[in-house]
Amino acid sequence: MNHPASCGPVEIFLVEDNPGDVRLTREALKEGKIYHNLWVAKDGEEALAMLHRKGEYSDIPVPDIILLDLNLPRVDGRDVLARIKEEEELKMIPVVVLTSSEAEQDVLKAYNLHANCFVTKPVDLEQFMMVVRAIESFWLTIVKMPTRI
Amino acid sequence: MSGSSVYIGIKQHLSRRLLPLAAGMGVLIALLAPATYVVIEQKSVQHLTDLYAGDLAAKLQDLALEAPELWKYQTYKFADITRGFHPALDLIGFGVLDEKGTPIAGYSSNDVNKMLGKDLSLGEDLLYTKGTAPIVFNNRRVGTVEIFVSDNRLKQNTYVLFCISSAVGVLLAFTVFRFPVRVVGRMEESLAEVIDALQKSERKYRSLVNNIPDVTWTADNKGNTLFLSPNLPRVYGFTPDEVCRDPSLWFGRIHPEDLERVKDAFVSLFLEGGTFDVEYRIRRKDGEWIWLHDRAVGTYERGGELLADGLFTDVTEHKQVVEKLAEQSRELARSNAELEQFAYVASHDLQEPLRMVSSYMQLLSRRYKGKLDEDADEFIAYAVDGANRMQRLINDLLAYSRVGSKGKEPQPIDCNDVMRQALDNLQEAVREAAVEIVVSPLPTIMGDEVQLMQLFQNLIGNAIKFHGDDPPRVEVGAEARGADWLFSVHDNGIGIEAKNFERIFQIFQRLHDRSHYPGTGIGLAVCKKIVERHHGTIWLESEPGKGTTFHFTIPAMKVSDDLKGGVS
Repeated sequence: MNHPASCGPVEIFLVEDNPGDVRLTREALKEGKIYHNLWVAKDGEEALAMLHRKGEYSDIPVPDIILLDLNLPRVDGRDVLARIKEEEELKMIPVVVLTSSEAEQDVLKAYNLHANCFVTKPVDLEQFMMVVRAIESFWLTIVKMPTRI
Repeated sequence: MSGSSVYIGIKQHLSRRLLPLAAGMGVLIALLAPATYVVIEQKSVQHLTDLYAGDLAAKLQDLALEAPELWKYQTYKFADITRGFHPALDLIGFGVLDEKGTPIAGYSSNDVNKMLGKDLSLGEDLLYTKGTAPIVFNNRRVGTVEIFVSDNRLKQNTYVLFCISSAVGVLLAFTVFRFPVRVVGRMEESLAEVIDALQKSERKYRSLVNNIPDVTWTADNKGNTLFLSPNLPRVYGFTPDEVCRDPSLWFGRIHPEDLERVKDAFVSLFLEGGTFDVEYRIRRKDGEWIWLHDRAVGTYERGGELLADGLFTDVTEHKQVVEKLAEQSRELARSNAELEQFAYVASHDLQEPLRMVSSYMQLLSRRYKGKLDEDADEFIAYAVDGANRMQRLINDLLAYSRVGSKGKEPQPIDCNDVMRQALDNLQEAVREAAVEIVVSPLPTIMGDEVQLMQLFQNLIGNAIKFHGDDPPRVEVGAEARGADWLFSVHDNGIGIEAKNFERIFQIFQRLHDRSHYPGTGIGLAVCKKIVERHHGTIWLESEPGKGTTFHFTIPAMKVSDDLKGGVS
């Protein structure tokens, strides 16, 4: 199997400005069964710097999955998404838009920018946990991804 | 225009074509075309009668020159001479007399008097006008010509008597003509009619011009104002005279932003004979700006000049009201949109911190339940419950504000389909409460499918939720009522007291405690908003313990809606 899960930790990249949500995601992942590293960017600018492995981020691995919030300070999540899907090295990484927005235009915009899926953060903790686990199991164990060189 | 100037105008106009013919006491009759005549002042009557006398005297002098001794005896030529005054004159007699009064030819003066009867008694009746002229020969007055015209005030025939007397006053010759009463009468009547009609029309015109609040005007194609109605100062401050004298008092005082428009319209009126209809601002004499609605249709020619008549109205007040209304309606639309946006943003932005509160409370409960004391567990439970409730309120507020902000173009919607969807969504509640639901056939109406579904779902949901002790039963139906469909949702539930009929449609108003009947109190507020967005009204009938019927109306589809539905 060529899935990253089969060899070492899964590299999960979270772009989220709300520390409360970061912690919740971290907790949810902790309750899951997948061995992972969680990388967090607090805004769009930092996210792009990390993805491009600039300066202090030169050692960061290429993520296996990106969890992206839409409303971010500095560089907006939509712009980050557009950049990821424009770049040869990044565009194959699955991007899960994870946002509190339910707005139709946000959903449409995200898919137009080639988001891999759009998930609204559930208010209820149980459901939130379930969503994170579902993302985990679908994208990291069920889906077959191409082999990385 | 005053009455007298109308009169003068006509007189001037007619006099050119008039043949002044006969005069009466104080009245001169002048012949116009076949049967119309006009009255001229007494002075002119006398003057004309004198002129005729002078004319006749001159002719007699010519005769005297031809045959100095015999001139008196040629007076028979009078008939020809005098007959020349007018073809309608009817010669009824003539006489040539010697110095004793004996007729040499024709009749004696007594015969004439007999002929005329009491119509005309020379010298006795004062009802005539007399014109006199001397007959002069060799610088010596040899005789006198007199013309008598009888008065026609008594509707008698008018008689014209020409007399020639010797230097000492002896009557030498005369001719008598009759101007028949029927001609006079006809002329008089038609004159009276003309004058009366003129006066009436003039009065009407003057009263109109003076009493309507509008100002009438006449202008030429060079922009000169020739006439303005006397009520101008009331509107504009300046008098008609001032404005007619100085054109800048009009065009010079129009608002610069409006001037081009007015000029264009004015030019097109004169060049293309178009319609002049403009609204513009103009500065009154007192400096205040007013709005005028000014219009004129077509042009005409008078005295070689192209003119137009128009009329303007002071619409300042009207403009202000319209402007104020427009302003208010803009303000209302803006504040409505703002309110909806506010509700949407507020509820949306409230979600975020609330999600934190509720999530971490739950995390706390999950990780530490049973590890702290009982109080802690209870506190956490209340906090979680509060957060959940707030979540529902926010969701409902969002849903409520979406009814306003997310409406779609109305489309033909089959209410039977919508009803099926609503019942589908309520499946669980229906099963749980063992509700019997009876739905009569429903119409197709113009509307928003999602909102109509929500409407039925909320009303039926309520009917189920507030059921009584009897086996619950809900009936849904619709009937045509005028241009509307009248829908009704009837239940046999607990009912609502009349004093609460208004309150239940308000947002977050609840009549019952949460433990018995959960909910935020948004359902009927949403229903009301949906019905109102569909141009209908919603109300209810209810009796506590017996049941409730909600009624709402939605306009029936028009033929054009049908077509629209067919095409889409």
